[in-house]
Amino acid sequence: MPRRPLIAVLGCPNTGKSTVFNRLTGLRQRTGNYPGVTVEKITGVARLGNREVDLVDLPGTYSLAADGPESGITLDVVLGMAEGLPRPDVVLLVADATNLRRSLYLFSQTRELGLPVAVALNMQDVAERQGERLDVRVLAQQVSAPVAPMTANRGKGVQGLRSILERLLAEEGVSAVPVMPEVREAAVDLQADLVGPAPELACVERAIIDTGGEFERRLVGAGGQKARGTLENIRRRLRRQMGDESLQSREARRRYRQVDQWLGQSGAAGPQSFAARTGWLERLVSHPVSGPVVFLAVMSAVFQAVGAWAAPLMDAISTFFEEVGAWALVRLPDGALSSLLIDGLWSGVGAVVVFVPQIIFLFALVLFLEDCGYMARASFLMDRLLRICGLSGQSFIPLLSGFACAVPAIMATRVVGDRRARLATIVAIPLMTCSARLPVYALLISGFVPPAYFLNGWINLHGLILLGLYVLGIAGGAVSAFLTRRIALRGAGASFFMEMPPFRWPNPRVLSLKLTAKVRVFLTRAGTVIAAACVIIWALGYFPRSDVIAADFAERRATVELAAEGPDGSDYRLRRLNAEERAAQLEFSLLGRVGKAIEPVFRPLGWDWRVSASVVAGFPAREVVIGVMGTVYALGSEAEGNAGLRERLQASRWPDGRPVFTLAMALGLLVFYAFALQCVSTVAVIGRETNSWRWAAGAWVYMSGFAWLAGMLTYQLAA
Amino acid sequence: MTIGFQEIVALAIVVVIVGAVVFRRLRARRRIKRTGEASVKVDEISRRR
Repeated sequence: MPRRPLIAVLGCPNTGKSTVFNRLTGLRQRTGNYPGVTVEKITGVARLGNREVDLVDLPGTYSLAADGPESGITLDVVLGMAEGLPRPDVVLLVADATNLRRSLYLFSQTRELGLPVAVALNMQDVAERQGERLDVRVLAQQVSAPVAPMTANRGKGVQGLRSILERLLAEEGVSAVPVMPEVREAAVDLQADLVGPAPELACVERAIIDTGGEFERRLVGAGGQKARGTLENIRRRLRRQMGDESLQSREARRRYRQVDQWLGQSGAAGPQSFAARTGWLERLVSHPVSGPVVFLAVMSAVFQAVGAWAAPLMDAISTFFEEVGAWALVRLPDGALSSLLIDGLWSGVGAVVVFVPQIIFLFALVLFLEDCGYMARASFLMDRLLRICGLSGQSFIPLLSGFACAVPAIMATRVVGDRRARLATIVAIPLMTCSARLPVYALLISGFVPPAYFLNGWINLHGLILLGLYVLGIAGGAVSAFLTRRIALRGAGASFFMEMPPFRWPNPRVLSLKLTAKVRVFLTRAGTVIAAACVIIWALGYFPRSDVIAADFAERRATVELAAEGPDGSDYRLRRLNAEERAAQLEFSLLGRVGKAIEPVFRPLGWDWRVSASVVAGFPAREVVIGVMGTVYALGSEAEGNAGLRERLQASRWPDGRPVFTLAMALGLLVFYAFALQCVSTVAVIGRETNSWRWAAGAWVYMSGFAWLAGMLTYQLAA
Repeated sequence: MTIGFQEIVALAIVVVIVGAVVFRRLRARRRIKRTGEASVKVDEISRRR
């Protein structure tokens, strides 16, 4: 079967490349990795006319020059050298119509590779609003390539782009005259001299131009010292020819001259200053004084809104799960099956599903801020603060994503160019308060911190403690990053370069697609891993059962029934006896024995065996812990009837009758959760992203140790 | 302890649920090893290089 044609989608960062890609492929896409490097490979299938084509979305880049294996991927894919991908039939270059100069620089390099290239001139609406009067037809003639004006986030111009791509697929590519003919000539000679399989001409050109770059490393790696010597000689000769100017700077100068010529002929306005393009809003949010104020206001509004909007929905879901559980409890026959269904599956999954509203609102707001362009400004503002910890503004978005989930956040550290800063960011991310910590925080704060209000009710103690835990996480992350940079990864920080995308209204369709994907991931986890964890914990907490305890309680129940004076009195005592029997059986079970064995380790934190067992069972994923507590306390609750988890925790007692969950113990548990790395996915992703299990194991050991110590100190001081 | 019919069915359900989840994970792992694909759908932001 003939293979489907392949189109490579290329472009500078923030040109809407992924939006164009999404428009062409819809939901038919896959996310993966290029073998050997930590760059996502995003492929999709698009229909052009009556045929299907494969699309590959390349990482955003300003130039084909590569300083590391990650940035070398772009040229590898375009030249058909990436593993698992054939040479593309067409290259689609997505350009930002509001900043065309930069995109055309990349185009100028791409057109020399001998492949048919199409230009998608994106964000045309913003450019027109800014008064841009570019003649697209003339530009297409100038660059000798089809140009499709479009506004991808509104779906405008997509059909035109499809027709252009369809037409181009039938054409053969023509290599444009090189901007650096001297380098081309030298590359041809060098290519002929090299022994073994000849590298692509474009790679040899890049090896000559980019001193210390990825393609130089590859060339020297294959050809040894001889290749290095030849390369040095060629560079020296070319520099002499070019009046001692470096090849990189000469290339930039020539290409920009070419680009300016194209733009001038097409009637484009000259380069505009950044402030002129964006106006008062930009000045407000990027100002050294008003910027941080706006940032704090925006972040507080996000957290307040999440709390306020999610609360009624969470109450409704929680009531639903409790009511259905209670309804089923009286209708199902008593025994192992009903216990598994109600105490295991229903309580466990219900305790997790209840946090979906919070996750929806948090992600919706964060995605909105990201898509409208505010997050890029926030990175810029945070750069100075992050530099104190040895990081840069590039680490801000990964760190912020850590407030949702550490797994995508750690993967997002791929945007951090400097290796040391990237590792320090990876170590700091698990300390950010992720959404899985929220259920634990919410449960313990609402159950054990007394309600108190200050400033006429404007500030409440619950909110303050929650904020304090967020600050604790941030402070912990900052200290971790600082120490990592000072002790393990010493060295100067890299410079941070980013381009501010213009402010724009996010597309509701794109937002809802991203949001749905996030919620689906959370729910599939709740539906699979958490359900499995809950049934395992249920089985450990239910088996083995003691016949002696069962017989003892059966006898006591019979006595109560015989001595019953009225139905109400015996009913109350019977319920009490049932609760006591559940507690005794749980203590006898495997979970009870394990919990008792590890209790001494956590005793200094004020935890009894049930809390210890729940926390240890929650080590694979912290969101599981509430489900596990739900199961453990449903199985062995000393509270009566259909009490919620909070009431069951409040009712739990030490053998001498003292309550287990005191304010001091709850605070210690909160602090423990703020620092502990209780997430096997995070540990795995640290291992994969750092390519070293030592980093993963080290992070787990130090965070768990630190969490225990901080939890113990909090408990001892507060008690 | 006495193991009755209910206990056996409950244990069988536990084994089926846990087995299904473990099987899914293992299958995903094998696919990752074969194709080099990541198991986690990556956040949009991580693509912005």
